Amino acid sequence: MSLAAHILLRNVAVTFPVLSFRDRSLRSRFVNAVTLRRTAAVPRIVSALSDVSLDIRAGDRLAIVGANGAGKTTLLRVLAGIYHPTAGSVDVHGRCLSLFDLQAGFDEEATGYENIMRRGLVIGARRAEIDARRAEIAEFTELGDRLDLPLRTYSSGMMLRLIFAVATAVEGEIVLLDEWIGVGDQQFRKKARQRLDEIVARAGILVLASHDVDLIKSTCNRAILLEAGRITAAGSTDEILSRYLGGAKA
Amino acid sequence: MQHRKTGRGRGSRIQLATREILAQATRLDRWGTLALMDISLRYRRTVIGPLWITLTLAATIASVGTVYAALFKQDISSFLPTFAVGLIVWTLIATTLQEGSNIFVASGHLIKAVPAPLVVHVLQMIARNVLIFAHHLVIVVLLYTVMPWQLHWTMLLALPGFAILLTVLLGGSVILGMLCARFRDIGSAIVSGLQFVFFLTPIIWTEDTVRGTAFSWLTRVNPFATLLDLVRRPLLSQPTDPEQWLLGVIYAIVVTVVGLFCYARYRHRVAYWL
Repeated sequence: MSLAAHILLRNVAVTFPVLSFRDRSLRSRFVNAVTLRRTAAVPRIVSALSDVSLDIRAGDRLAIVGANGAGKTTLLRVLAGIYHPTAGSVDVHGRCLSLFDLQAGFDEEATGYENIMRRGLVIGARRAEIDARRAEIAEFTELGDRLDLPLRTYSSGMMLRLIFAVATAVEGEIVLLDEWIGVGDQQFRKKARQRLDEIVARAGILVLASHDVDLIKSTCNRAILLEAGRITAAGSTDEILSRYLGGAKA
Repeated sequence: MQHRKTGRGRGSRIQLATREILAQATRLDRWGTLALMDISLRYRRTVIGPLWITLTLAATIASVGTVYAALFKQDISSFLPTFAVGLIVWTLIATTLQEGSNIFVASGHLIKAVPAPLVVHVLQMIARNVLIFAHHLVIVVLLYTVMPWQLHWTMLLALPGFAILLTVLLGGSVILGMLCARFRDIGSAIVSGLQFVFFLTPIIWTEDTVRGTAFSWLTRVNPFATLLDLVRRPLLSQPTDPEQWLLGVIYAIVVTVVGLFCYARYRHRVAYWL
């Protein structure tokens, strides 16, 4: 386990401009400027996260709970470095392994092997690094010669095997999970579960956004409750879960 | 250990942006391989692959070239190579700017799924178009064997000319891509704008035909004409003007500065506009 992993968020806010057709169009801006109309100038802003402060240290297994639209995925994307907060600061020590949107970068027409290379390059790995891991990834998928066939010929189960194998081949001190990944048939599911457990065990930090109460209880040691983009409670998993579930029932 | 920090890092915003672009520009294995794959995947089920685009272009050059040479009463052995090289370089410029204006919108799902510097998508797109351009050079070689022009050491000047052109295309794609992600009508404006510029640039007509007319100033002030000529004239062993080189370098600097400014200021906002 790497002990130096550390995440520090200070007063992070994320606001999205909702660019409607009118706002997006340069013409409407021009028309407004020419006619000296000032009314429609304010674009609508949706606040996805506000005033989020977090201190996550090595050994922490943090669960993010909250209703749909509370900002769980946005927070994970901020941690992964996809969204840069509009206010506040993010300080992440350690390499992030983001296990969500795993199919991004895959191409239907490319073969299994080519997709291993594509996805690897897309996430920024070096070519030599990917070549070195190719055999290991191929072996894990158990797809054998079918890795030479284009992805469009794969069944969805086969595709999931490949996607999972590629995504989990990279190392990271910080593991970000948006729901636990369950893949393939019974036998592969077991193998995938085992690998994910290993990754989580090795990780310095785990951040898991999930609705699965049992999973959170068995995996995490801390939790935060997100409501409308704000952290409304933080503490032990039991405490937060009972509060979350209580709120859901009420 | 990897360390990522937002807010006030070391160095100014421009410095950080420059560092990011330079770091990615050296990763030929990343965007180069992806560009190669893009092309090979697009033509996977064809026999001659990307040469299909070359063939289409060759057909245009042969038909339009001969007709216009006759119409303008030009010597075909000098007009056809000029037209061919002009159209090939123009195709590179036009496709890059068109795809460039759409680049962040088109890569939207990737940008929102994987943390990667935005400039990677632009570099990949430019590499793809340069590879297709390289295929088109077959036409130039074929033309040379049919109606040879003089070979001269000044042909090597096409390389710095090409470097200037690529710099402008890189900066231009970043600027247009960001503008278009924010304002969606820019994309359509670019398509019609490029059509317009095509006719204002000496490709289907030559500088000689307008010499002394009201249009001759067009070739001087049109940046596309200058950038095109910095590649075309050396390739055809025609002399280049120091004034054109100076203009070319100025265009490259201006576009780079504006592009860098946009990149430094807006690269973290693009994900929110998609």
